[in-house]
Amino acid sequence: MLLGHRFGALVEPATGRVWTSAEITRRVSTRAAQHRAGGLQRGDRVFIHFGNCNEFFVEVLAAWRVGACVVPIDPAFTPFEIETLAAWARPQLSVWFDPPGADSVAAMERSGVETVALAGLDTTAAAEATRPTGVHLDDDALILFTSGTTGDPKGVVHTHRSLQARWSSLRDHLGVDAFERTLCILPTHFGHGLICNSLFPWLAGCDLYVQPPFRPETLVTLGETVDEHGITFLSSVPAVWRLALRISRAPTIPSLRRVCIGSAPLSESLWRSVQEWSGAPEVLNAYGITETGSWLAGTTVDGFEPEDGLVGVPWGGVVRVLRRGEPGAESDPDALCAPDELGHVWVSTPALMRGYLDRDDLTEKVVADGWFATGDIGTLDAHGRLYLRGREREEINKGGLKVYPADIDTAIESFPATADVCAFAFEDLLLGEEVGVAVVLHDDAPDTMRALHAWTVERLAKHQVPRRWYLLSAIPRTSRGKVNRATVANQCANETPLSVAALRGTST
Amino acid sequence: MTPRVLRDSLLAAIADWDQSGGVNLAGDTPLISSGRLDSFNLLRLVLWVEEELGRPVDATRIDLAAEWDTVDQIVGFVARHRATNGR
Repeated sequence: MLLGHRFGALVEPATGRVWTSAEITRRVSTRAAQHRAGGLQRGDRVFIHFGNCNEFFVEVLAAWRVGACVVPIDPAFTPFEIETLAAWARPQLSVWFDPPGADSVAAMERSGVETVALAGLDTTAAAEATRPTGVHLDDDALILFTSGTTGDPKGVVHTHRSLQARWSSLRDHLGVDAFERTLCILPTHFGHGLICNSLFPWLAGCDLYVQPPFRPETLVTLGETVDEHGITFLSSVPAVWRLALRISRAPTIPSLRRVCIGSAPLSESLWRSVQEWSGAPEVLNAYGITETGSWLAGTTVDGFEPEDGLVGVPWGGVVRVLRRGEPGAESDPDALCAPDELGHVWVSTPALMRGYLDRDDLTEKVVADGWFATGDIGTLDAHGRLYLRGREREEINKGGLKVYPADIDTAIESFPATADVCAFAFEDLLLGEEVGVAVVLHDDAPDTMRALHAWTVERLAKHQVPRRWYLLSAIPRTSRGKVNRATVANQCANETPLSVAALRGTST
Repeated sequence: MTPRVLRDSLLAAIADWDQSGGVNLAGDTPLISSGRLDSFNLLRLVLWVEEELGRPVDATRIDLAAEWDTVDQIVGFVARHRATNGR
């Protein structure tokens, strides 16, 4: 719409609501007029605190219509996290579906942000069609916070130009035919779910079917939903596929033309199981990072056989594997790895983010001369196919959702009785990785531990709260005083975690 | 394992999965229809039932929201299927 898009219909299979492109156009005009009347201007930022419904997409287009930048906020974030993000991003407006709780309202008021709930607005009132405000391609369009919700937020900033570049490259490499009826079961505050699974097909004129994410009923009925709506494309993460394969019958009508799997390592066996369940001619392992506008490569290579770690070829960019992961390596010809040599994955793509919001220090650590150090470890074979083998950066991949140990450390460190803390990943059968934490307290009385747990729950979204807690007398450190999270995880593997009942002061 | 022990075992497991510590959790608490169990914990539940039965369960043939919505229903399911399994 903003730049000549012709969007498709929006459909909510769970509620039966269908909005045609004409209705969407009318609603976008109404909301844009309300934004203008409220003083929202080009360059302002809008927090959207809900997702996975028709209204979310109208809010995105309405904000863009007036030149504002959209900041989707995970609905699971606590008021503490929302306030942290608001203090950093300084939005002009905070849009909620239902009126927010008193704690959230107070958090936004402290940040000087106006709060609006759609439930209190007439979003269907007639409004004159308005032309987009003079938006420039290099204006900020989207900010996705990937970490730092308890301390120094890291917000990935995409401009209209970088988003357009991502969508153009996907159109060039994947076409749009297979996306005719696209189903989104991923969160829309998530780069993969929003930029590639939803906005790309929808803004290319395809119909978008939106379901609540990670809800059992969404997955139990996945095969039925595909059949009932003739879904041609869907994407998800390996952990969700493992569940869907177990609890949902396979589609009986061969409507699926393409399926994507991404955001976490994909095993050959799961890949083959999804091929069998979906019956889709193409089941792709897609590789993407929020900073690159999500999908930048995938297995669109002829006659491939699923293999552990196989990603495939880049879509609209260049991938290199270098011997070093820090800036400077990109311009050093000696740093280039030989075919099949393990190294650091770097990418150059016109869809690269503008940078991290007000964090030039972080941006300079990963971007140099248009090249981005992904933090992934992999190989390129002689045919230019990328294989991923691991990750060098500290992050916990919890079923595709990324959790950053530093965020957890920051929340727990601020508890008065904390002497030391170290969050870490531990292996989980279903999710791949889960969150553990080792703490040292000045006072390790049971009441203190329970108070710390309550403190943490108040400050972290549910998926960030550690699943296993260990009370240690000291966190092991290197001779230089640094913490190695893997070492702490290994030590804790030999200890007994505190029971949840002990942490919450309950019994079962 | 008696039904009572099985019930207590499942209550403890769910209290751990959803990190609730067992708050507001009883044998008749709706788990799926209420949204208390998210999709990942639903898979943990399927695996728990399989562990108890000692064999795979074809969950695609079960109306989970109707037949496995409470701890008491799930324990009943396990007891019935153990009986038919000769255990």
